[in-house]
Amino acid sequence: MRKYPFLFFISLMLFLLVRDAVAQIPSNIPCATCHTMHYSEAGTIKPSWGQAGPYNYLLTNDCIGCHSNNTGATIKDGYIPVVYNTVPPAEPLAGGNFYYLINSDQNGHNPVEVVNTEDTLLWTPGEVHAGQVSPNELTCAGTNGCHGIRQTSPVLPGLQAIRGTHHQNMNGKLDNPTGINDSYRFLRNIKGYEINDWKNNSSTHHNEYSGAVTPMDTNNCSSCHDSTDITKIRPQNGTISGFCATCHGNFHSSDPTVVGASSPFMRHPTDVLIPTGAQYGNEYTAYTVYNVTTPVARQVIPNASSGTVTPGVDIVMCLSCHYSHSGPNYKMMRWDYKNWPGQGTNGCGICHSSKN
Amino acid sequence: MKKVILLILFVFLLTFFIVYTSQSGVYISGAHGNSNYGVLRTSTSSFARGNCMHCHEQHASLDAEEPQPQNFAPSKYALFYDNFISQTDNFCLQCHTALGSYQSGGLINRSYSYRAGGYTLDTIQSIYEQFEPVSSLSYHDLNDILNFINGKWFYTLDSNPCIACHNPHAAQGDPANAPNSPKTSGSRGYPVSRPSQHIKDSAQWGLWGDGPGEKMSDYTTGYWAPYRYNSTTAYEPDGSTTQDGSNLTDFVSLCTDCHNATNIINSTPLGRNLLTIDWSLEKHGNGLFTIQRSVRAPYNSGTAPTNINQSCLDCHEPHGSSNAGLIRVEVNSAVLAGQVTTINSTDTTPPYTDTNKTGSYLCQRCHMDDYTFNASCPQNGWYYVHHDAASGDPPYSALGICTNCHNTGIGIDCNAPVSPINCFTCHYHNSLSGTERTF
Repeated sequence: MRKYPFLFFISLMLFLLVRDAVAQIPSNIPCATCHTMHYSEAGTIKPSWGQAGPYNYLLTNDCIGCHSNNTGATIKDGYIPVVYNTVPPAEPLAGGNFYYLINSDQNGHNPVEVVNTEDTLLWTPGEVHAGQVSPNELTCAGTNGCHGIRQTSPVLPGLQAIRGTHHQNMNGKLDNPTGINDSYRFLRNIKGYEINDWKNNSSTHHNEYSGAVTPMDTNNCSSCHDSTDITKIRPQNGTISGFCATCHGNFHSSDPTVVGASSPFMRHPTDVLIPTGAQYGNEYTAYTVYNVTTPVARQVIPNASSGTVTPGVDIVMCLSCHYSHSGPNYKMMRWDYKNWPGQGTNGCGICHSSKN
Repeated sequence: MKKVILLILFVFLLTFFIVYTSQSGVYISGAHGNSNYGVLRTSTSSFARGNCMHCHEQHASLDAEEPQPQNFAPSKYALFYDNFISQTDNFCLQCHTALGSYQSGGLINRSYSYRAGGYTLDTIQSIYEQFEPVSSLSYHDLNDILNFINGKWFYTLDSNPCIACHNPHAAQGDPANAPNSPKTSGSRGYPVSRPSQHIKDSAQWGLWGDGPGEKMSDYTTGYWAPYRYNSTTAYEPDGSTTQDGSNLTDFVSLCTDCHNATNIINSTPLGRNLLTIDWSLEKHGNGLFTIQRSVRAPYNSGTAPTNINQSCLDCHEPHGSSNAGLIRVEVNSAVLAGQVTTINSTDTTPPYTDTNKTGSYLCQRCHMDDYTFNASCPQNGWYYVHHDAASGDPPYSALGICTNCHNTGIGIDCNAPVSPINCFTCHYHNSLSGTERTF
């Protein structure tokens, strides 16, 4: 009889370990997997380490060094999400893959860590402040990046911006972020649901993104800047589209001369409800089954992936059309928009069902 | 064996039907979305023809710059230009113009006289020209249209007045992709949609005229098509021998969504409200008439309906015309003998002093003038139909007092030196003489 509580305890521990094993650094991974005391072993820099070190925080590599792979696998060692494969990725993760920059810089964000000179853009598209992030300045994290602490002054390098978060990472439903570790995908202040294997691969297995029914007013400084520390950048509304707006602010604003909060929109709207008014007929009401080609955002983060889309409740967001990192299509589109209708795909028609 | 072959054929046809219909969406079946001849803006030509980008700029930015035309600000509905500014300056006219079109390769749009009438000598080749007050004496005033539709049928002041009659995501060319040819039965398309059916869902706001219940033959059994230009064997709109309107869009139902017996429509160019139209009672419409009013072929044919009913576009251009009142330059097999310079009459009481009878150039296309009755009479004279028993049912005796109506002159034949009367004094939409319909 005594063995049963013990077995229960062991089972519980195993369950807790396994539940989020893929998303968190497993506790049985040696420190030496990521850290090195001297950036030297047996008198050499190990081939599996980044070769441009030594790196801050005694790390063996930088962001892209860990999150890249020279095979097609997009999860390394069972727990490292790969965002940059040097060969075609077997199954790109939800954010896409920087591999596709090999075809064109216009297929994605082009962080300097990928070592691919940006040769198209002269400035950030839709930037509110001129020179926010200049070409060939974009980084994975930090002042000129997306992940971790983003502050304008003093300049914060990527590794410093992300310090400690991997060890404290929380995942699953994140609807009350207070730091980086409990923000969606280390995007400060962003709410969301992190799928445990980073894959959006079916209507019922995908991340869940946060949205709002009205976009931020990017004329208002506090929409992007901390009200108590203006050097700190985060979207006030905690949405994924608001996050994009912290760089691409002119593509996302309630200002009716910029985008607007209701029709007629000046630009394609984000952080607005998928419409259901009488004047729209059945155009948008046909979209009721979640489609990972055109994901939607939620007003309330669910406890798990939902396969349902509810026009009038769910929200169109930047990621409804674009990958966050990079993808196989022009302008980071989730489908081959540029070549439609002759070829390509009409992803627009998933929402705009009568524009087919 | 025969059954097996039939079964295979059936399966093949069914498969073909399913595949074909699943690929022919509303937009890509239209002129704008066609992947072979659809929209292709010069500054976004790297996108596939028919792509949304050629009209809509999702971010008013491409590679961090606004594509041409640059107005350094986004436009409503994410269009590449302001939706509507003025009669000759709106989004649609950025492409539907002969000079400086943003459509790669240019864009030609012919008049209705050209496309349906077969009058290929008409030099008009763009929508812009038809709306432009220099080349057109009369035109649908786009600002008036916008003011009228505002608040109706989900239109607002942000709407483009062109979409009062056209669904841009569905409209087809007619003829389709043949701008320098008149319509044929094999090249038909359907450009219009009814304003009363307007909704943003293009699947619901369908094309008008392309399906059952939407033909002139559905509106009335009395429709009889006019001849094609220079022909007495081919008929509008497609040059075939079909005359009963089964191949013609029910333009009456379309036009009377606005131009009906009750709507009050202000016309800025005319400086007054438009006449109301009650096509159910007018003689050129569904209204009864007892005796043929000295009509020409094909309306005097023994096979023509007793109560002939016209389509609006048998007489009118939909966009603009060098004639007043949007009257076509070619009607029923021939060009009008002169320009119709006015559709207004300054007279309200006899004797009538307004002698502008240029309106009768239109009447002459379907009704017999004096010369047709008698070669010794002048052309474009109307003594017979008004006074001579040879016309069948003249309303006025030849022996009356001429100056009861005519301002000057006296006489009892077609050559009598009496002053003419502006036709529109008595004959206009919804006009009456006592209880007698006069139009």
